[in-house]
Amino acid sequence: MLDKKIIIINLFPMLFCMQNALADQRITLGAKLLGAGWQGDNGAASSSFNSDEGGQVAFSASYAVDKFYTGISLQNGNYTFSGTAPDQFTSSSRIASSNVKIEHQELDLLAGYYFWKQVSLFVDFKGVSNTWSDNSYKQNFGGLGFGITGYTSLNKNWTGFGSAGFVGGDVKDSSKVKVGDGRSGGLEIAAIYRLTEVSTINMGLKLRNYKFEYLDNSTQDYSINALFVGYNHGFSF
Amino acid sequence: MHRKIVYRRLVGMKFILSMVFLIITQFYLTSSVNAATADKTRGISLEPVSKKAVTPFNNGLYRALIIGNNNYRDEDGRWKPLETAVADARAVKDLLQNTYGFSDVSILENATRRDVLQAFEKLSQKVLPNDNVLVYYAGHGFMESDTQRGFWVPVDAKGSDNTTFLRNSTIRDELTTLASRARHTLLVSDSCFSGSLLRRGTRGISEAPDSEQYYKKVSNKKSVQIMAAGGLEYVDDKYKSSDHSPFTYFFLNELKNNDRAMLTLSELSTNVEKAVANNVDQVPESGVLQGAGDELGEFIFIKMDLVVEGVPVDKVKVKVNLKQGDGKSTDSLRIKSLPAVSEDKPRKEILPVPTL
Repeated sequence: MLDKKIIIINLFPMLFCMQNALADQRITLGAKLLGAGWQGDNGAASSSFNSDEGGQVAFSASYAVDKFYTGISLQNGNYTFSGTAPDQFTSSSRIASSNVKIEHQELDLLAGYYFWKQVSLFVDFKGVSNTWSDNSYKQNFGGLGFGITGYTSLNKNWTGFGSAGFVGGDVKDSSKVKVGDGRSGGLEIAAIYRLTEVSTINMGLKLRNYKFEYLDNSTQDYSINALFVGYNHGFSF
Repeated sequence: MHRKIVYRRLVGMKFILSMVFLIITQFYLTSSVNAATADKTRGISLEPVSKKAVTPFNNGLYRALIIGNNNYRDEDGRWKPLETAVADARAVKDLLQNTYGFSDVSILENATRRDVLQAFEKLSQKVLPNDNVLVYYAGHGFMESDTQRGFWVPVDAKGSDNTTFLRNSTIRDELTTLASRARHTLLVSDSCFSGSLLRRGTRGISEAPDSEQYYKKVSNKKSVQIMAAGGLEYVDDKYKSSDHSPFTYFFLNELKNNDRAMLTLSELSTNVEKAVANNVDQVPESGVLQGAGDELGEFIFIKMDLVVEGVPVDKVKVKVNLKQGDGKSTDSLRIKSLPAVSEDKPRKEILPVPTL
């Protein structure tokens, strides 16, 4: 199933690339550091949680041809909770969690098209996994999302950048058994500074919200908000 | 339990590897198609262009007719051979072809009156509506003092028999014919009394000349311009130890040292006029050909070998694919794609990958 989604996402840009092989092409590699906090509540349990510290590192690669682009982004980081942490849900039970470190991983595989001069729409297959360090419980959430992104040149060196979108999909436990439905929304605002013709740094704010509705009708909401700084390098050919 | 974790990690690895494989496959396929397509369309393929060498706003060809006359064979001895005209013509040809993307360039060395008229005729048959046409002449010029009529002097000119010369009115007619078909027409005349060819026109530059809007505006308007080595005066044949006349020396110099992607004739002529006047007793002139449909447009030179700051020269590539003409332009090569400034295309910003 996963492979089919990957192939579908890649199919359109592949076909497009073959037809437009003479168009401008560019590969962009990027790295990003995010200083983030994870906070939310466990719904019916009325227990809110807030991470003490957290952060992520992300690596990305994108390929653009003319108005089309496709890319991949991998994020990984750890969040430490002193006290209440997000509860763990399985198909049969709910396990309260506290004083734990959770490894948070995100994978985005996307393809987009600039329908307007500086605004594009994209589809994003997003996978999120959270792994509790105490018992290796793993919460998986993923699905297809849709987003919009755009940029505007502020002056010779500065560019404003933003993206927003949402994802809907299943929430599964460590056994890959569905335990609920999830929705996620994301908003990113950044300022990009052009270092050279082919390299930029960017800094900004990334807000993400997750809402999970479990099969036992309980809910869990949390958000992971981050300040980030990143670097991107383009290779044109 | 441990086996299960290992298994899941392997599944995860498989997932990532499959994506990486697909992206690499996609990249490879694109590159292959790119190479194959380039081979098919290749009459000539140039790839020395920077991202900053901006495309003309129309889609026309750059064509040139270049004439250089050294070997005058006047038995009366009135028209002495020149030293530099042929070298001037060759240097102009090389520069226009190699640096400014002229794809259809004809050169006449030591041309007779008939050669010149035939070349004009041939050129006018090829010109298409959006084309940019430059005519360069280096050779003797002549002006009748009583009638103030000017002439180009071909190599087969006979003494003072002006019926063997090319009248300015004839040259104007030929230019008018070219201008009726092309978007931009420019005559560069490096001969004595070449200023008699032109009537001065005003070319007010209302916007910053380096703004894209300005270039777009003057590019879209028709132009019929003339740049002359001097006014109603004699001009020198050789500048110092160079192989060129003073006018062509500074004309070439300005074009070679130009560091801008686009240069209008007005900008070029201003610099050339200053440089020539500062160094020799000769003042070039420029203006428009009256009555030929000039709409205050500008002939724009597009430099094709600019560098991109911070990018090694060998990494700077924007393809300029030249392929055989489509029948409308029989023996020419068409510039298929220049670096684009299309308003429909997104700016080539280095952007982060948007994620949800």
